[in-house]
Amino acid sequence: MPTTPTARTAAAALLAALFALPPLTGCGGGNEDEPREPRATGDAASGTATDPAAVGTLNATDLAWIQLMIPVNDQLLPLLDDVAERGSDPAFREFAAGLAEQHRSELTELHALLDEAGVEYTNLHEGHDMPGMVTEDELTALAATEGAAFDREAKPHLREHLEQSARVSRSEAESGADADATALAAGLEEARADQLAELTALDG
Amino acid sequence: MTSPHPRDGTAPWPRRALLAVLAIAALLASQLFVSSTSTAAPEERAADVGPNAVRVAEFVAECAFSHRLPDDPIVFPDMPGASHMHSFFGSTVTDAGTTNLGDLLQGDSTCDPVIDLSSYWVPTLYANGQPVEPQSATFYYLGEGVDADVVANTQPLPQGLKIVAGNALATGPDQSIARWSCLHAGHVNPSQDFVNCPSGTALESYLDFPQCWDGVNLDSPDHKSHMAYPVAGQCPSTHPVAVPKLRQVLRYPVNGDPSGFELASGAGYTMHGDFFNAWPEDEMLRRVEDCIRPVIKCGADGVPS
Repeated sequence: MPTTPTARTAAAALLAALFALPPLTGCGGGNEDEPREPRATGDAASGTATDPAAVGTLNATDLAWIQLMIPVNDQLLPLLDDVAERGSDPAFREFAAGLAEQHRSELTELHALLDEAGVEYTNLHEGHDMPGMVTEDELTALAATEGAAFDREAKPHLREHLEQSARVSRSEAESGADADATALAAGLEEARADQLAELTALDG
Repeated sequence: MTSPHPRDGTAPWPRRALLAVLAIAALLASQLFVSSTSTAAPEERAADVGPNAVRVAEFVAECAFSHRLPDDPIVFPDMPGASHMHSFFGSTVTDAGTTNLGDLLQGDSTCDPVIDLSSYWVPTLYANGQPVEPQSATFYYLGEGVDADVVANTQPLPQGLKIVAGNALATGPDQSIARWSCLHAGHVNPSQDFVNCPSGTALESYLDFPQCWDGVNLDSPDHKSHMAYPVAGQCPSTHPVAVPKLRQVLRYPVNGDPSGFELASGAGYTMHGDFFNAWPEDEMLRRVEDCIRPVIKCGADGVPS
């Protein structure tokens, strides 16, 4: 197969990914004709050492949830800050300001979970069309609206975000392994229920 | 069925880049050891080859589209709705909770052969906002890309193995091994991004999966490091077990201006594929022994075609 000397950036990215990984363990037996009995995938929810996708106490679901919640929250902050600044209803402004504060504190805790496990944060959803994630185009469209129309357009985005992040946090609380991560998820799901009730009270 | 082999010699695989990275990875690995490959000479099996056999190491599964979900049981296990939209082929039961081999073994398949209970999934293609599913999805299992002695020593893909290929996070064509071309329009140069296919032809996507396994792990935290691409025709010492190379070929019933095309993961160069192996062990072994090691082209039934 012919080659072309492209993808230097890919090489750099791959190399960075390799360095970011935990040390490779159990490199397999080079002299064996037959592969060893493969390590069972095991129950991903068990978070035991038999889960080949686990990092420390974080199982694959923990990792997936943390690495989803970070970009989902990150992506919402500009909208929350925008509402807090120029929403037409003072109660809505106050709600958004409180929500932004809670989201920032969640982000700190989410990053701390990764730091503790020694996992470098990667946005696994960069550029992807994700359920419940406000897009750049939607933010641009919102920026063009004002007053009551702005409030009205912003609310469905907040609702979708709150509902979707509650949904994935419930999955994490059920299928995650790390005690801190599942506790954070359970707390987050509860907080979302309150936040949704508040939004409903604001006619959202 | 058309050939899985690109028609021209301009395939833009970033192999040299991978070579460099993997060479460094090998140095970094804590346990360096020398791989003494014991080879069963291909000539030994050549005597069994019938006069009409085609000398290409290959067997296939043709798997119709099954379903769409914003799920990824490898990257976002047990978390429904946590992924961009995927189109699933093969297993009809796969969703976010399909994390164990047993889930697939109890399921059903859209594949020919129907005994292939594996699950294959890719980001959904959208044309002007509407999902488009492939008119055909062929999963080739190949003994190529490595030296003849390695092909002759190919091991079956272990049941439960999870492999991810391509780069869903690529931000440019140079970060991608995706390859787009046109069915029945070989003059259109292939590209890592979508290509403009002439009227009457179909947009097609090729993606090669890594074929060297570490021999131990069925998955890994980044879902990639238990597998590797070959280096200079050999599997690296960190990933010494050669398995059949999975080549995913999807043909979409669209052509023309690609500006309206988008994958759920973004531009054409973000094309990627996920594979969760649930072939019956005996069927996989038979195909490796009868098609891959002796270098014979087989069909979906795993006998010389």
